[in-house]
Amino acid sequence: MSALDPSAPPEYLVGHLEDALARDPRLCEQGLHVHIPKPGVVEVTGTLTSAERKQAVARVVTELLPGALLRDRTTVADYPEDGSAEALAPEVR
Amino acid sequence: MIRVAAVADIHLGADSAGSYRPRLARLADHADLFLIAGDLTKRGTAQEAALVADELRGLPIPVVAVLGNHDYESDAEALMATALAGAGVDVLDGGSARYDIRGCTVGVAGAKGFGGGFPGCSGSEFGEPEMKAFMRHAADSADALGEAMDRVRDADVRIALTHYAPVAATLEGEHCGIYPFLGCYLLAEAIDRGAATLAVHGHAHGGSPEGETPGGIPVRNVAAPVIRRSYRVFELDDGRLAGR
Repeated sequence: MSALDPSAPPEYLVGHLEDALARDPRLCEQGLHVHIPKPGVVEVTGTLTSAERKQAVARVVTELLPGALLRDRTTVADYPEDGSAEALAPEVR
Repeated sequence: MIRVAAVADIHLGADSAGSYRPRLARLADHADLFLIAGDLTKRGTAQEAALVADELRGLPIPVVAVLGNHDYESDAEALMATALAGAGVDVLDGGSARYDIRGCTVGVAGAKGFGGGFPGCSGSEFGEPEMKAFMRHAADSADALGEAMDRVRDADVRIALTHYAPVAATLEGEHCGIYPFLGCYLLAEAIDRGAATLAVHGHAHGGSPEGETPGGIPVRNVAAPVIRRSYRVFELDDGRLAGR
């Protein structure tokens, strides 16, 4: 994907950045959200599967909007094992 | 000043044959150009193609249309375009048309458009081939609209005509969960790049009549259930929607 026009309306920049984050083979993350609070600033939120992908967020944004300030609000998933069960069966009397 | 009449989603079928033409009796008194933003028929059959062509044949002002999703339902869209052309309707599918109205050049760029959604809730060409094809069709239709806009860039008045919506604002009233099936932001991007004077669409029967693109181009949803009349008239003055 080629670089975006930084002077384009922020709605279009958000659409193309979210599309790139979903499609770029370094990421393939469809649950990320982009917000442009002011010109030249890109805020990305959401949960990533690995720390490597956090670096890829920066690369993709920089490639598409060189010079933009990235506020990376993403978190890397850390899901602990938890064997506690939800009881769905009717209570036994 | 020129006056443009527009409607969409008239959904004519055998059960409504002959019902629309009488509602165009004074069209030439009200407008210089008539736009139809898709879904002229109920199921897009060959019979409906002939019926709608008869309803529109020989109108006293130029008529330009795009087809909508209903017009594709019976895989007879090419036949429908031919029937409409035979009735004097300019049918656009990624094309453009120009009209000289009292010395003012009006350029119309038309494409059906497609779904895909809007920033924050849009699809991507990722995953299953069906999803890729869905979003590729959305992008192709927006590209075609953009190229058509380029061809009318030198016109005094430039109108973008689509069936699907370019912005979410004219969908308000519909359930937000179906927005990605009602329009796509890529259409708005093409409209802004082409510096349109006005963008007209249909498809969203429960939507809102007015909105604008991020670039400030007025967008009007002319779906018949929204405008609740046989067409809505817009006055375009000095390359702008009058009153703006």
